[in-house]
Amino acid sequence: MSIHFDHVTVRYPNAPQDALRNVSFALPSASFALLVGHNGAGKSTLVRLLNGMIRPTAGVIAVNGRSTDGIPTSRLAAEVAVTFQNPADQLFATTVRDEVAFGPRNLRLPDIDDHVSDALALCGLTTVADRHPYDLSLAERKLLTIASAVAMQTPILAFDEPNAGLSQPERHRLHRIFLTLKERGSMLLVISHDLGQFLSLTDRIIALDGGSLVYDGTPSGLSDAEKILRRTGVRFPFSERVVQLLEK
Amino acid sequence: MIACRSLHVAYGTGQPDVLCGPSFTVPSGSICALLGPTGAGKSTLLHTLSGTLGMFHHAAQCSGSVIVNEETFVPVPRRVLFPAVGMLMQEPHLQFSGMAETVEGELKWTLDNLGIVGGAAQKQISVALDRFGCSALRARTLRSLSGGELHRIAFASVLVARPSLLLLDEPVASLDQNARAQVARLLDSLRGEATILFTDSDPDLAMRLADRIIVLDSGTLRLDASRKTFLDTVDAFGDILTVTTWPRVRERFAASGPSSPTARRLRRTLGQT
Repeated sequence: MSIHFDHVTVRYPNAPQDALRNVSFALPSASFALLVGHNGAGKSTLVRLLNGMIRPTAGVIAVNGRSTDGIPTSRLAAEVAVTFQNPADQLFATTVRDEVAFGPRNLRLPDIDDHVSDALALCGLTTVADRHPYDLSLAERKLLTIASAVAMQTPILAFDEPNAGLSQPERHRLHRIFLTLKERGSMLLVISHDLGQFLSLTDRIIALDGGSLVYDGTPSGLSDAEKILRRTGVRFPFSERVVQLLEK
Repeated sequence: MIACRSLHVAYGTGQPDVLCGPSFTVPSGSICALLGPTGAGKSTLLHTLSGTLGMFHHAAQCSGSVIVNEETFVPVPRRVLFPAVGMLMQEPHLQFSGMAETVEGELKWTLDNLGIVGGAAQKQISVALDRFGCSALRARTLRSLSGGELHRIAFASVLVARPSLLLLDEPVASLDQNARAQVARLLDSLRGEATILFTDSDPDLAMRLADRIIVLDSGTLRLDASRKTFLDTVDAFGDILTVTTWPRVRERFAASGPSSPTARRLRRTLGQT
């Protein structure tokens, strides 16, 4: 399973400038890519293109070699699961279990109960499975959106700021979830300002600035690109920067 | 200064000890890091030192003693030691009084309780917000703030009272790297002005600025030492702390010759000389 962006541009209706401009990159299967950049750089737009929630103004997006042009969001949902920054944007069932089961039911997956149980266990939500999503803490609701994406069994998962609002124990949980998904062979695309949380999992960093792609490569390559670090507001963890200085 | 001696704390009669006798001293004007994994007893220790333990554990059983500035409490303070001690809790919403709608109102409420009003209060509020780059949030409602903004305002609401002792429970755990650097600069600017004890499970902030590093595991002290000793023995804590690349830093220091200016500068910065 792979993703290809070929000269993709997005301009929202009545917007004075492009949200994404001529962006091209390719991600192979089983990669863990971190998408970084300032607010408004185009990160969320890029993720929303993956499952057809928005369509490019120009250019081509291909998932597993097939163009997504003309393919409805309902079919793309079998390939790509996306979670948003704010859990309130995607929770609507009356129990946690039903919320997690919603996606697999829509996709008419076999063994739905097994997928739901696995996703709940992975995200530490088994004990609250019968509660209303809005009785959960914000952090638990965030984990619930991740469980809902995991249960859909899609080969590609995209998460928009999954660690925002999480405290330290939940951040550890999130790290374990992503490590498990990576070991299972899923492709993960994660938007985050926090390089420290995900650096050990990351194979690729894609950096956007003002809608343009300014870096596509390994984390170590980015650490040498000081100009891009400044433009994107990305900062490596303190210990990483110390090692980088000593190894220069 | 702030210190404890043979401190034992259990959440109730017959319950196991959460703190199993740690003793240490944080000298006046110094910065001390309290490192340990989740469940080590770090938050309980800070609550015990600040007198807020009873707010969370009514039936707590304690023995030992706590020394805050010149005063000794046996076994522990039973009242909140405010404003001498400013305590930043992990959850910003626990920090707020619930009495004010806006950022300014929240900080003003703290100062009202200390009898600081009028122009003096306005000035202290301006200084505290400015320190966190939050002046633009002054009129905003607390409910409208993002997680990162709430965290900074919670911190400002502690600092506005100008406590001489700061107990900070995971002050950077939920912040990104840029915000962490900002907090590090702020703590460094308070060095000498306040006595600071902060908790973390990641040694980055501690290695950056702590005069002393204490490692707590299952309520027991495993280390109370300088940054140099901590780095020399960092591998021993790989099972309980996120030591990340610190072992590599130690190896690089060992491998770099005395003539390397970068290594010399970093040794000084990291308290390795």
